[in-house]
Amino acid sequence: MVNHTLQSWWLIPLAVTASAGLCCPVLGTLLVSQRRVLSTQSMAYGVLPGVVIAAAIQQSPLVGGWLAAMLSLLLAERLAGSSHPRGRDSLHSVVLAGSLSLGVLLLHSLDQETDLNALLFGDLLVSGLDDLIGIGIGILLILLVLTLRFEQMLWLCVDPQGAADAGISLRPSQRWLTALSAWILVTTTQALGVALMMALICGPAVLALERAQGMANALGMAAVIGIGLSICGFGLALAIDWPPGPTITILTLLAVVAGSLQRQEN
Amino acid sequence: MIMVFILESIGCTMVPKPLLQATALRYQRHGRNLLRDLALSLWPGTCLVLRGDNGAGKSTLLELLHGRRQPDAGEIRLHGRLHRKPHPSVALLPQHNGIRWDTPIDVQTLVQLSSRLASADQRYRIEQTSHDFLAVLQLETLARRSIAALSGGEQQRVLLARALAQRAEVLLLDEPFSALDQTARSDLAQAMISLIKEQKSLLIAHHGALPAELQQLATNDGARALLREVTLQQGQLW
Repeated sequence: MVNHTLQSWWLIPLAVTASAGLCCPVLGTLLVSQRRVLSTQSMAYGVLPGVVIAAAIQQSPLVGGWLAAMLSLLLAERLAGSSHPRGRDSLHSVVLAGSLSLGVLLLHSLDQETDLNALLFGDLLVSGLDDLIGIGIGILLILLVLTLRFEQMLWLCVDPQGAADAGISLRPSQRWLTALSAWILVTTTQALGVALMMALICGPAVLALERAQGMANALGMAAVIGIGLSICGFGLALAIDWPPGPTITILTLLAVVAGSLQRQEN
Repeated sequence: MIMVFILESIGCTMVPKPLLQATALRYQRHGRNLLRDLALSLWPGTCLVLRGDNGAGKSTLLELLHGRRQPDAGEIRLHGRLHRKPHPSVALLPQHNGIRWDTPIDVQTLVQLSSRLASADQRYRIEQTSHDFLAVLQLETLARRSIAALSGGEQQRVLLARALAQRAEVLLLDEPFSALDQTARSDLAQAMISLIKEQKSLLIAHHGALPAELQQLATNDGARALLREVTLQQGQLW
């Protein structure tokens, strides 16, 4: 009984890894198509200040992180909206750096150390049921959005201006997607960390979008690639005693490089 | 219809009403009067070619007629009703469209995209007729091709098909022939002639010589010319 329990300690971390490998790439396919990766990244780094403040005032870090992510996105988009197009990426980057720095300063002011490794790559091996439930809710929300708002998502990916020209409002769908992105960022940050999360959001999506025959096909392909990379990376890390977060990230990078080389050959 | 038949049989031609009519339009940008008391009418089954120098306000006029921008003064009427915001009956094909041509969807999906947010009945009708629109614009063989693989001329024709699928009656085209080779220009011109025969109204902002196929429309055909040219200069049409 003890042996069985000890042998299956990796089940929940594996399930967390696989779940993240499903929901991050599916979300990423939508975000990459809509050119919203940089704004998502600024949201991801905006989670930290919210989590720290929420923990300090003994409130839910999940809610605090979610609110902080939304606020950082609003700030980035407000600044970018009123600036020249050439400065928009830069403004997102500044908000990203500022959010991260704010989180570090808040930790410092609370006499807490900043664990950079945990921030960037999380700690998959100690992820638990809470993480699995949070990511599971994210998966259900993505499926709900894709079921109820697939055409709006398609418009957002292909031609948002054309939708406005045709008198079709995409603002509610855009808000849903932003809220969903914030949820997934907050629930995956603790287990995966920001760097691994962004790798899973972008890598499988890029590979799928280059090969898929339709958006539904791209979403499915990204999910399969993401799950595959996550599980393989997790297994490899256990086998050779490496931390799983960086291992999966490197594997994702190698997959993207291989995909790019294959495309050049074709 | 019976009244039309009776009147036409005794030599009376029914004068169609303009689809889109602008009166006393004014628009200023950066302190400059781009449009000054401009009046314009677009009739079914006709093509109006809008010429003018760079910066004359051609693109702005198209955006005002579409509803993307609001005039400072004057009014625009669509089927006699005030037209203040984008409407499915008026399609704008801007010079630089914001379509992400690398999205993995095929031509048929893009053309039918306008239909997907309609009711089930409307969607059925549009999906049935979108194939007809593809045929009108000689795009049937491209229906399943990825939009990433389309040439510039094919992209323009696909956008025309999409405008038709959204039931546009007025098509505002900003420099549709730019960056197209001779063959593509000819194909696009043929597509436009098909639309005119379908009683659509076209307004084309254009520099330089028109494709020969369109120039032939400039002669009178019975009661009215199918193609007219006007120049936007100093805020007014000449």
